[in-house]
Amino acid sequence: MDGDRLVVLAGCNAIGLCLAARLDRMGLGVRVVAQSTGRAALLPACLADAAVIGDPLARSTMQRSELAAADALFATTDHDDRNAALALAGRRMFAIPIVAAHVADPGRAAAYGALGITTVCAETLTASVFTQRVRALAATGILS
Amino acid sequence: MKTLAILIVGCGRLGSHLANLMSADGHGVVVVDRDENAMSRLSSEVFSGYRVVGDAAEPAVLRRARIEHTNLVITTTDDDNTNLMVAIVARRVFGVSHVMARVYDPAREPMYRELGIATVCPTLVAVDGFCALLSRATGAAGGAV
Repeated sequence: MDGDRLVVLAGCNAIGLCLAARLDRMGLGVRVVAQSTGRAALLPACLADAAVIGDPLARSTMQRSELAAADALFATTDHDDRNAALALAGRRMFAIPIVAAHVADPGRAAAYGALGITTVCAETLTASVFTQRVRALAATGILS
Repeated sequence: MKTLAILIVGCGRLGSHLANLMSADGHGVVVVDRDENAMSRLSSEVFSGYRVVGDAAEPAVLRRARIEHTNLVITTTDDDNTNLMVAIVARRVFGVSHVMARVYDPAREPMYRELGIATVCPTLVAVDGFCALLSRATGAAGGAV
């Protein structure tokens, strides 16, 4: 992917902010949908123009964030159901090729998966990282 | 594999998950949580460790949890300040050789590192997860990361 590619992030919380900065460093085009100007103000200066203020599920917000032209949509709001709804909208209404939703509750990942939604669960991934490190420590005596 | 003596602070979803898994792996595990009800997350089938109800910020509670005989402390509470404080006490006061902490605020990671505490940040782990999806550019429906 390059600067011609557009990734839309719905949600301007810690994950959205860090992800926006990372994708920008990777040279990708980024739009970040924020519920308020206060949240958008937390974006780094280089991404000030990337903010789209509004309800991410409102059609007007979707249009302003250029979802129709997006190559990827990542839903990272603080609400699992909202993220799932955004992912479904991204796939079904806008046919975005790469769509994923963050889920805070690991128990929901399977249910959303059954709906065809790709999920990223911070808690499940965090548990995996801890587990890998403990097992590596037990095997090698070194904690990474 | 070396059998470890592991002290896990916090018996929420993450702490109990790790406790059950590490106990099943054959390690000695002690879990500390202020809330006795949280201990119900520990599996009666696979968890064969010890439960200590108390505030891990109190050294007396950590001693009761046998911290002086522990190889590895993992702090998993929902509060970064608690995780940091307990991790520092484990490392500096009790000299635990290996300490890991969950830290929600990515900005705190460098400070933890300077103190010799390994960290896992759910925010950055999630960012890695999304970036991995992007780099694979799967677009395949229904997968979980």
